[in-house]
Amino acid sequence: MVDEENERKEIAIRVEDLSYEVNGLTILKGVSFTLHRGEFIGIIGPNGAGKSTLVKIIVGELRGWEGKVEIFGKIGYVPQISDLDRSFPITVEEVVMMGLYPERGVFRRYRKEDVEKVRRIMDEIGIYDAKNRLIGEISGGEYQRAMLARALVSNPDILILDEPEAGVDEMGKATFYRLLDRLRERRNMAVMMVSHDIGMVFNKCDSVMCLNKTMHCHKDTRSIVPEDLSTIFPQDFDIFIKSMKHFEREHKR
Amino acid sequence: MMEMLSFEFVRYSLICGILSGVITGILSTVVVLRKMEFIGNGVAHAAFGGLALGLLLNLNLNLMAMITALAFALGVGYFSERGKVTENTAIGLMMPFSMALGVVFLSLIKGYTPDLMSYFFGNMLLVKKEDAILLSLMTLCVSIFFIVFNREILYYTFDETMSKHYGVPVNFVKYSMLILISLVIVASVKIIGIILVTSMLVAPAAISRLFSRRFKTMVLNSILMNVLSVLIGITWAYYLNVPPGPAIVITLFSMFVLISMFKRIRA
Repeated sequence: MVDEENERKEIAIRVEDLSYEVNGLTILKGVSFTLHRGEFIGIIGPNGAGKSTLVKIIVGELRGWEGKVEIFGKIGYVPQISDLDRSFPITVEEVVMMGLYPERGVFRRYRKEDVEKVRRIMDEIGIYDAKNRLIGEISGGEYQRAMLARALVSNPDILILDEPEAGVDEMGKATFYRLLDRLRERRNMAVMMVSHDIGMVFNKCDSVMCLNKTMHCHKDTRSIVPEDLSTIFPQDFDIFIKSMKHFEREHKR
Repeated sequence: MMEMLSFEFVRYSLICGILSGVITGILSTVVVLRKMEFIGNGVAHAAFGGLALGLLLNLNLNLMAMITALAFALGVGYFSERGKVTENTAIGLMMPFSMALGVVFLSLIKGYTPDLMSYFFGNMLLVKKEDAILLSLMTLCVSIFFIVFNREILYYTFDETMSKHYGVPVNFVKYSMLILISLVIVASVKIIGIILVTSMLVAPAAISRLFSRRFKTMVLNSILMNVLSVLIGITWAYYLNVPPGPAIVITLFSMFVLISMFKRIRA
């Protein structure tokens, strides 16, 4: 289970016995885990396993669940890439600025220091040059970094990413994950990432949660064994294992 | 030009045309970006139910049309939020329902039933001072709403889900927009007619999005497109002695075609 060292770290998210049903259909059942500051958890599972539902419950988008969810700190959220109207007249900078809305509210305009803060973050993330481009004109990788900048602009304690690799090419993914490593070191954030890129999850995350409606395992990445994965990917397990170069390499050591 | 302006009916039709152009120009940005192009026709036809009920119960027709527009806006907002359908689908559900109610109400009226469809084909040359005042008030309300809540409207139009996540008062913006759009449509239909309202709610934003890179500039360009089309349309309608409403619609469509072609050639 989770490293004992974590017990001494500051808790960021604590979920206890979380269940969620829609019209009698179980989406999640009995999910419990704790995420600490500085820790990077990867959540994997097949389609329909309830990964995005778990994220939506934690960020407060879904109600009607049972159990206990405690959040200690501010959340920065990078949602799944959505169908984007590519000619929508909004610039990358305006989209990133949206992340500061909770600090300003309805009648308080953005100030000069808000603009400076947004530009500083955009520079850190490497999308400063794209600030005046329309959000629909940038590449998948740049779009994902813009979403990351929007999530980070309010200085969150917890970063939640829902399939950040979707629609991004290999080069874009590599840049994104390198950036994430750097940000984690600098900001001591807790990071929770839902991903289908299992190789990357094993490479980058401290712990892995295998989810398929119920939580099949939550272990330190190094202690995961193939059997853990066979419980959540029973049908495609052979093909899956062959395609997981990272996984095999780790386990041959 | 001066000769044309010497007629009071031309002056009023110009004033009302420009005011309608400003008000629908502002709203058209949200209508087009939220893909609610159907709303113009939807509200105008839905008003039929209220008008028929007004006739049946001998109530004020304008008031009934306004109440129906309000109910329509709230219904579209409710079904698109709770029924998990798009705003256009909700409009498509509500419009025939209201029209069907209208037909039932009309059939219950004993004796002579007036032709309600004439209500939908307003005549710009018959506008009065009161119409200009009503449109001025509505233009003021819509302009203030857009100035105060421009950031919230932008976020809601761009990404409703993430706007909610960031605490943007999405429901307030959504319902306010639907109510304003519906009231403007009902008020304008009587004056400028259903065809011109529909055109003025869709065409200016469709044109300005071809060359606008910011939401605010798109709103301003949409207003400009509508006002230009009113000035050009009424002028050539006057000299060719044709109705001004269709002239404005033809002008708007021609502007869209010309600017699209210009953009394609430049690309």
